[in-house]
Amino acid sequence: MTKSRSLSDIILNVYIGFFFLYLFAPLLVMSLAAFNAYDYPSVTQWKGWTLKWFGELANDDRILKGIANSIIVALGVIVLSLPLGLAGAFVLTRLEGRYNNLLYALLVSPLLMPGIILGISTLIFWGRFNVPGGLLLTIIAQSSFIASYSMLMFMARLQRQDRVLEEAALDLGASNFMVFRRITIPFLMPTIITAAVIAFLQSIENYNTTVFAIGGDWTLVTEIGSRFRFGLSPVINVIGVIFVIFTVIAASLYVLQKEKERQRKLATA
Amino acid sequence: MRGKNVQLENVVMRFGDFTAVHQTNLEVNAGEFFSVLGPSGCGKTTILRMVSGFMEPSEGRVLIGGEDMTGKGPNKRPTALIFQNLALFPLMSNWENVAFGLEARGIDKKTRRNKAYELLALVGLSGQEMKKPSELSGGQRQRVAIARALAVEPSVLLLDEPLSALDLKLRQHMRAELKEIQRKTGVTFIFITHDQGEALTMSDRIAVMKNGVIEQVGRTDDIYSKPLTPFVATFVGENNVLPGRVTNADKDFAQIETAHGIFRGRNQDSLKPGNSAMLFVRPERAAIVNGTTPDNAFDARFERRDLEGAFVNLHFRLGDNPFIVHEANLRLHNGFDGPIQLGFNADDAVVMASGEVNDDA
Amino acid sequence: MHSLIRSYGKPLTSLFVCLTAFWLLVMIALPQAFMIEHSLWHIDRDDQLGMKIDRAYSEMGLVEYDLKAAKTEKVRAEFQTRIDALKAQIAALEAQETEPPKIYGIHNYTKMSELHFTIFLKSIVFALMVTVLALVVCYPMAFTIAKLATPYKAALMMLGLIIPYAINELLRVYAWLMILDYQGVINSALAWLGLVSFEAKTWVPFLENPGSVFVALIYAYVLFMIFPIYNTVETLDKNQLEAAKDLGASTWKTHMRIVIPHAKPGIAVGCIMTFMLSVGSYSVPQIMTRGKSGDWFSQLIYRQFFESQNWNTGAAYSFSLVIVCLAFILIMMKSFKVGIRDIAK
Repeated sequence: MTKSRSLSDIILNVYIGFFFLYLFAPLLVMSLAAFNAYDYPSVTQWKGWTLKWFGELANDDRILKGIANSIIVALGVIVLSLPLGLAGAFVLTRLEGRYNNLLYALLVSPLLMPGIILGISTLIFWGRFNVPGGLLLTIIAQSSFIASYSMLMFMARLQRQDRVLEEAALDLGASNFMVFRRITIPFLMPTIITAAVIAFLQSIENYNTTVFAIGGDWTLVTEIGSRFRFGLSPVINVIGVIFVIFTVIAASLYVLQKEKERQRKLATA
Repeated sequence: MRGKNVQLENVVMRFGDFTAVHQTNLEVNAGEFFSVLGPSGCGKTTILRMVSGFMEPSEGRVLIGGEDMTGKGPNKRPTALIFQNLALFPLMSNWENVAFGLEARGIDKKTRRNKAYELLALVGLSGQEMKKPSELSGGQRQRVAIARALAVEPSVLLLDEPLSALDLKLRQHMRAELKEIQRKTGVTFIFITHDQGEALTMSDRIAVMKNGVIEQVGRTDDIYSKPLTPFVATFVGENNVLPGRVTNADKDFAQIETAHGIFRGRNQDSLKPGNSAMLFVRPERAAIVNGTTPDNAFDARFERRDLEGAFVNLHFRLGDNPFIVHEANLRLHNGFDGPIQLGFNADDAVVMASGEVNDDA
Repeated sequence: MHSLIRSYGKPLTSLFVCLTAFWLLVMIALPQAFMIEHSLWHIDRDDQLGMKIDRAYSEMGLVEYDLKAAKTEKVRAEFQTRIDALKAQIAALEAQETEPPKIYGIHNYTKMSELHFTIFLKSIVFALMVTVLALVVCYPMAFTIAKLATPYKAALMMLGLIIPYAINELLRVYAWLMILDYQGVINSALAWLGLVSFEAKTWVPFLENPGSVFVALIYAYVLFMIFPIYNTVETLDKNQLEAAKDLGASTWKTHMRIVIPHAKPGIAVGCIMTFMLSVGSYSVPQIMTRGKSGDWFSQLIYRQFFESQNWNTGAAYSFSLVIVCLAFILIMMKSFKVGIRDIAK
């Protein structure tokens, strides 16, 4: 019995090992190619170490403009999708009756629909009003589903809201607006921050929706996408390396933060 | 005296088909400690919410200090509510909690800070101003809630079972403290509770509610010694019940025939022979017959004895009808053999028209 | 809704309602409606139109000539009516030329060529296969993180799962391109082993096989399968597992009878997300195939919009895709007996 258990344990561990190899090996390959002097992204034709692709990225105006555009779009998405998501969450958590489920289904439907559909429908709809593809349309198209993410996060938070606190504030003479500002917003603050970060990352990352709504403009990701069709260079890998570095830093900070919290809890306990 | 009187005029509250409060008229005097007592679901919280403004009555109106409150929200009424779970704002410090009502009134930060510190000192929480409510004990939180409610200088303070979460010792202590604060401030207190002991110890007057109807309003002593309905008789304090039929009655006393004999008691409802009725006698008014025979005497079977400390509860049975006698703990009751003769005077018992009794006890 | 007004008052409540309505109508429902409407008509451009107009003009010239030559009043009137009729006909044709009529109907759906329809079906089948594969690959991972690993290890594994996701989808897929390319990592390894030769071009053409798209799709969307399953398995009481083991159930039986039934909503959500993302993925097949192993339906849609400039057909194809996703969701909800509330969490 124990023997077969340990055998299955070994199999499981090997499996997990392979799984993480599957996840990380491609990232390693991609990162490595950023330092290869060969003109085409490769790790197999090794022409020596170089940092020149980093320099080339710094001079690549389209990429730099793409990064700027991506940030503009992401900020726009935060500004648009958070209020929408919050409003939807309020309406859904407080709406009693049978329309609740229908409204819920409609408001989360953008999450269950392929990204390209959101881009296409937005493009067609605004095209009727002569709004062409571009950054504005990209913000709108992305927000239609990122707002759903925010809404789900806000709903989860609002379900844990103690509504008696709002009543207490009203009873003490607070205006409705003051209740919202002093009680509800502080309660939602952690979720607002998380939702903003998630919205930012989702927006930066998005391709399938953006590619239809972006028109003649471009973001970092659509620029990368178009380079797959018109010639690749290790500059793309450099961008990948920068992503990896950022992620690892963020992850380490996160782990450190968690560790600190744990230590503090241990200390107070 | 800051307190104002509260009047409920022909107030009715319905939720769809369900009537939570049937037509009710009630007047709470300015500056008194008034309790609304009843089992859960009796409508007492609904009354409180109508007074505080969280609900508008379906019919009738609420007046505070003679002023009609119809259409005024909770933030426009001279009331403050202490919630069952206290509802302290967890993200604010204690002083900010207390100062919240002042902030809502647009009072500048320095003034409201001073006022908050003052009030926290009044309830004995100096030095805890910067802490969060979560860092306080249950009793301390209670005091922050009181200070917060008093900060807005309400004319009426509404308390929604605020003591129910506390343990017994603390609860007893807080009863005295609440009573003291009420006396000092002169604010009208309306206290909602299902605990008759709490209502009896603190209140000037009590309203007993059942199924959306106020059964009796009166001074604490009257509620206890002169209950008007079988429900009040059994909900407030303990009572022995003997149901039966009136056989003989005059304007002072009625005689009732039960399955266990014939008994006499005061004829409170002017009952006539043939009426279905119930006789109530408090356990402390009944006794084991010893020497002189009282107006009513009967044999009962001893069942058990519960020691309460200063007195003992002796549990008897007449057939299947339980009967309890409280005796001062002056000698050892080691149990009894065979039937015991119990008795009570007609003056200490009351005969009422049959009705619903409280059987949760 | 009442409680919303009570807490926040009418102005804020109406703001919430308006924002929600704006989102629902202007950003979700109307764009969909317009897309569907767009798919239901096409512009009828008649190739023969120019010729028809020319013919009418020349006929009119002839009749005018006849008119001049006409002798009697009666014949003259006859020609005049013919000229008027021709003029009206020309005006109608010219109007049609400058503003071709919209014709409503399901033409855009029915005219889908056999090739496109094959691609449509192939994309669905491939997406289903990806979904099943991803489920098989991810279930053990989700279960391990949720129930077997120590909290510390589980947190570490979770981080390991999330890190690749912070890196852009395109770049992640592109990394696989580098591995599977003709002169990529795997072929180089095979060459080093002497199994293939670059000179003789006997490399394994991974990219011409749809399998390479599978690998990249699973890689791209693995998190969407693992997380929902993890979330549901996590709520399973560990005692149940121990009780099952105690009663002598095999690992297989424990999973079939206890874990999987409990994880049903998570599995349904994971499958829905993976299927939807795969069938609608434009980026992954775009990068991985580079056109070599044939199109995915999403690429076809892209071309309708940006290469053939045929938005009507594109809209019809898009709506077909929506129908497929909707059908898949409904089938999953029915067969797993889960509600919409369980799905979007």
